[in-house]
Amino acid sequence: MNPYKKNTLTVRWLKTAFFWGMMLACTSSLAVAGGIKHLTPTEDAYDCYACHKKATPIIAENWLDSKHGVVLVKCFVCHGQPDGQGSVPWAVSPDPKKVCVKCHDPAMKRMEFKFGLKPQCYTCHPFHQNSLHHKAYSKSQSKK
Amino acid sequence: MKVPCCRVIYFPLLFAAVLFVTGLCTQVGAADTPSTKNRPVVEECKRCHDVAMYQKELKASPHAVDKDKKEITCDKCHHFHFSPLTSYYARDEYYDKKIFPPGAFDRRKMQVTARKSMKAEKCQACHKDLYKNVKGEPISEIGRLCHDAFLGKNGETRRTCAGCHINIAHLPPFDRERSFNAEFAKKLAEEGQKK
Amino acid sequence: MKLTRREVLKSAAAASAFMAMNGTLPDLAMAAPGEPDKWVKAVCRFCGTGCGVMIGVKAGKVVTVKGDPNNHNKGFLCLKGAELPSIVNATKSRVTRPYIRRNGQLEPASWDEAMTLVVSKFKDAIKKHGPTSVAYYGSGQALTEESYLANKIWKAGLRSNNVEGNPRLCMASAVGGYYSSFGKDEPIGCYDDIDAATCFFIIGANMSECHPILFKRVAARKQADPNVKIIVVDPRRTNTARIADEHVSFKPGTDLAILNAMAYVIIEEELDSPRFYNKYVNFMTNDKKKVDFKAYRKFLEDYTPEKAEKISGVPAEQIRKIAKMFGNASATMSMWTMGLNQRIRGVWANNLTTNLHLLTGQLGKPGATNFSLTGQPNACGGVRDTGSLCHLLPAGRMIKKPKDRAALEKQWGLKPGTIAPKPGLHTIALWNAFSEGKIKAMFVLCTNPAQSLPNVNMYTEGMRRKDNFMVLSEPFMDAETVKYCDVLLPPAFWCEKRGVYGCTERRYSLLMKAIEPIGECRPDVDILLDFATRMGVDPKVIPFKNVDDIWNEWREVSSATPYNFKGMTRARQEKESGILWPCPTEDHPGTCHRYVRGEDPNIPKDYKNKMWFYGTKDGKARLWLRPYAPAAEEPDAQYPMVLTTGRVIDHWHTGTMTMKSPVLRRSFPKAYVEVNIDDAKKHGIKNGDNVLLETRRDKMVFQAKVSDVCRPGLVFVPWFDQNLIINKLTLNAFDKGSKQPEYKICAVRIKKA
Repeated sequence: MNPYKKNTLTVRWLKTAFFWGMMLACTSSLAVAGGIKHLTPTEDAYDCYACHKKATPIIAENWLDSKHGVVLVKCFVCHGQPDGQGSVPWAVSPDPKKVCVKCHDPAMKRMEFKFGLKPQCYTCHPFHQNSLHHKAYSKSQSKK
Repeated sequence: MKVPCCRVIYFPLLFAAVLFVTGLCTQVGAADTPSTKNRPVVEECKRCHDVAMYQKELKASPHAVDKDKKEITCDKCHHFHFSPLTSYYARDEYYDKKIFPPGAFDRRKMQVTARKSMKAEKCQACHKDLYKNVKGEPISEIGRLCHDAFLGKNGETRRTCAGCHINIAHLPPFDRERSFNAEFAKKLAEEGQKK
Repeated sequence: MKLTRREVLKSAAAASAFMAMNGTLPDLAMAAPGEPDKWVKAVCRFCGTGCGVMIGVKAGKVVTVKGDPNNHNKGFLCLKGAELPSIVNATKSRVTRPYIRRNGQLEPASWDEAMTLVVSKFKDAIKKHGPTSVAYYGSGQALTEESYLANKIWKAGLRSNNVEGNPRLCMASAVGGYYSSFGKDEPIGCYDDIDAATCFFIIGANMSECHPILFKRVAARKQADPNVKIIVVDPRRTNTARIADEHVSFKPGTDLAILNAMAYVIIEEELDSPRFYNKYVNFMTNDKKKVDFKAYRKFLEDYTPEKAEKISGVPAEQIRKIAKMFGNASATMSMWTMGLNQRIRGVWANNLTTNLHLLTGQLGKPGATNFSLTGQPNACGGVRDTGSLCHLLPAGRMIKKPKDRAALEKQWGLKPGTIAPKPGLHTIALWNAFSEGKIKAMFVLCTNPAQSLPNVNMYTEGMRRKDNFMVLSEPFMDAETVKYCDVLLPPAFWCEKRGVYGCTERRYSLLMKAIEPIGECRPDVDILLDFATRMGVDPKVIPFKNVDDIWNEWREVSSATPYNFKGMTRARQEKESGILWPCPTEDHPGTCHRYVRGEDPNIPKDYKNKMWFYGTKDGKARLWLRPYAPAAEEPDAQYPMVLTTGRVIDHWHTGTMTMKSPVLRRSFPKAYVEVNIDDAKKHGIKNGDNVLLETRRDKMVFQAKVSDVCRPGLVFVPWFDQNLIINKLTLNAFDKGSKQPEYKICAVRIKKA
């Protein structure tokens, strides 16, 4: 028996399987990373917070206690609406360059200038967390 | 190269082996195994887990008793985790011995794993109709919309029951200050004071 | 095929390329409508905070907005401002051509047809009944140039002093308050005072929902310095109270007693400043007699904290606490809106708040100021300052003063005696007269009186009459007033035209035109000029080729008065993001604090005192001894509760604009009634139940929202909902001084429906 010949066939099968397995993994993870479909609320029950207070109470409470919650930057200002209507695109993870920039453009430009960083805001400034107490807001560099 | 194919077979095999070994140590989703000596279920859990604390919390929770006023035991919601590693300590000689002190496990991490692993069937044993509560009363509009999403009828969720319904049986210290747990926390504090 | 290292590497590369794409695809999916071609500088269409807005335009359409980093808001916007693009783009709901009502229906017409009809009706009315039978009812949301022009056309062209506007319904008491206390209208301080204050006294204002960006600034001030004290005085525990150190809940209407009691405590605790009031303050009784401090002290004996507690329900302890906070702070800033203004004792409430500043000397230094918050984006700049009210002339001059009329006629180059000597009818009187057929022709611009007038059934009945004529300039087809107008004209909306807005802090900012008007819409200045020309108004009255000409004339007129903003040339306005008046020269930076030597350009640099209230004859401010008097319609056995109305953050006024945003509409789809938990229990009302509200005027069913926001005995209904017009239930009793109606208090009874 020619071990090389046998191995070539097996190798080919394995290689094909490996390749398509990777393809499958990529595309399925894409489906997951691309976002799940948000339910369509009834017209009268469309207030994000009223529902998410029950459905995702931790996030809702974090928001309420945060600076955004105190000054009433409501959910749709950053996330838009599930059916894509309104002035802000629908996003579970809003893009800082499209959304945060509407209010925080001066601060983002300052950050970019001072620290040369692309504005990936969430790393230091958790949007929903109780940012009234978060360290990022007490750092002296972020003032004046 | 005498056997170059080995690289293609060898590495995946190695990878699979690594997975298997870590699978030995992961606990979740393993088969249920009843106690061997008909001991109360909770006795088995006590060896590693801080059962006393969890029971105290359960007593003050909405799941203290079921609709027939019967006590809800651990196995009604949680799975036994049977794997070679944990079953080592499930042997009779370890009965009644505390293997890990209370607080040995990180509850925050456990909460994440536990919520992910709790299968919907366990909840549905009592909560058969997702549009009514156990007393048979219809749920709120918000509840209806959420359960529609859970069932895939309107949007979708990736979560199980416990993925959304948090702090319905246990209340770790880091969740006690949440405003939506106020009633639970109050009851727990009162129970604590009774003893 | 043969397997080589190369093959393995190739397949690995392909796999990783696929993985990398994984990261970029979601980005593509979330891409916004496209980067703007240009950014146009403007001001937000909504509240009196007056945030600067940069409008992103692409291919002639508004695609996005962001805050103007150079205006006072430093780039921030609230949720309504953020939704402006979807409102501007709601073109299907717009009025895009003129309409004439024939046989009860609005039928499309040409501009010529519509204007011919309008002019014939006005000419007819003037011929048969004189100039006092025509009127103009404008708005604090119209551009300054529009209001200035309309005011001039009517008063100098048609010689009718019946020029009014919806600021009569929101700011008249503040105007009256400033006039009686200082001899001149408009706040003394500015927004910068927020960053310097150490105590905030917020009364009759839900800042977090009605002035969100200012509220943010106050909250940021407190976060920067936790020793800053915030007092919120409101019968509702609103979101504003979240950041308060003291929330004072009181029986509606009794704030007059509380304010006097605070003055009592301030004197008792020796926190008053004789140095200030001996130099700068005259004490005046309610019947305009000048008295001394001793008399004031005696007057306040009726308002000890204990007596005030009996009247207001506020514990004496708390009154003492907040009075001490007010007096002890190094710089106290008061802020108020409709809670004080929309009352039959509105002027008094304004005076009493100002009194606390005059008593403690909390005036003229950074952070210390009595700061009235303006509701609308251009009530200050557009209506108050241009004098577009029935008794005023531009820049604080008054119709009843011959010297003022003469000075203006000279500036306008008109014959002496052009301006009629008798003031016209104030808003309520005007609409009463219209409803009785005494006013024959009315031009309504940029406002929605069929939803916004109090006791509105009376006025919509009057609008239905066949013997009066109403022409309406309204951008949105579904506005309530459109149902009653005889001619409907299509105006350009917000950024489709160019002009100035003057916000709360005396900041005049230029809105640059961002897009072309749609359909046959025309800017209101063009409509008004067309109207005036066709009416045969003296061309000397309207020597304007465009909106910039109007602005330049107004600048010139102001230069002879303490408003003097001659330095705000168009060129400067285009470069800068708003300037605070007075601003006499092009190199003047604008004025943060009025009446203060060194800051106010109206005061010589070598003036003997630090402050000079040049609005009064002797340069002193006035502290008025105002008593407590109850509301027009106090609760009684038949109607035992108080109904109050107000706004919510999601909607602006009558909702004609915000309801066009699908996001804002869904955030708050319809009005509900806020009921206190205890009251709900008493009436067997659960959250979501239908509740019947009944006043002496009308009744209406609302869904209940049971909470602890309203105090027991009080219910609150927002007024944005066109399908549930709460103004059918409110009453049109008004302040005798300011003529502003009492929207905030009327008697109501509730029942589970």
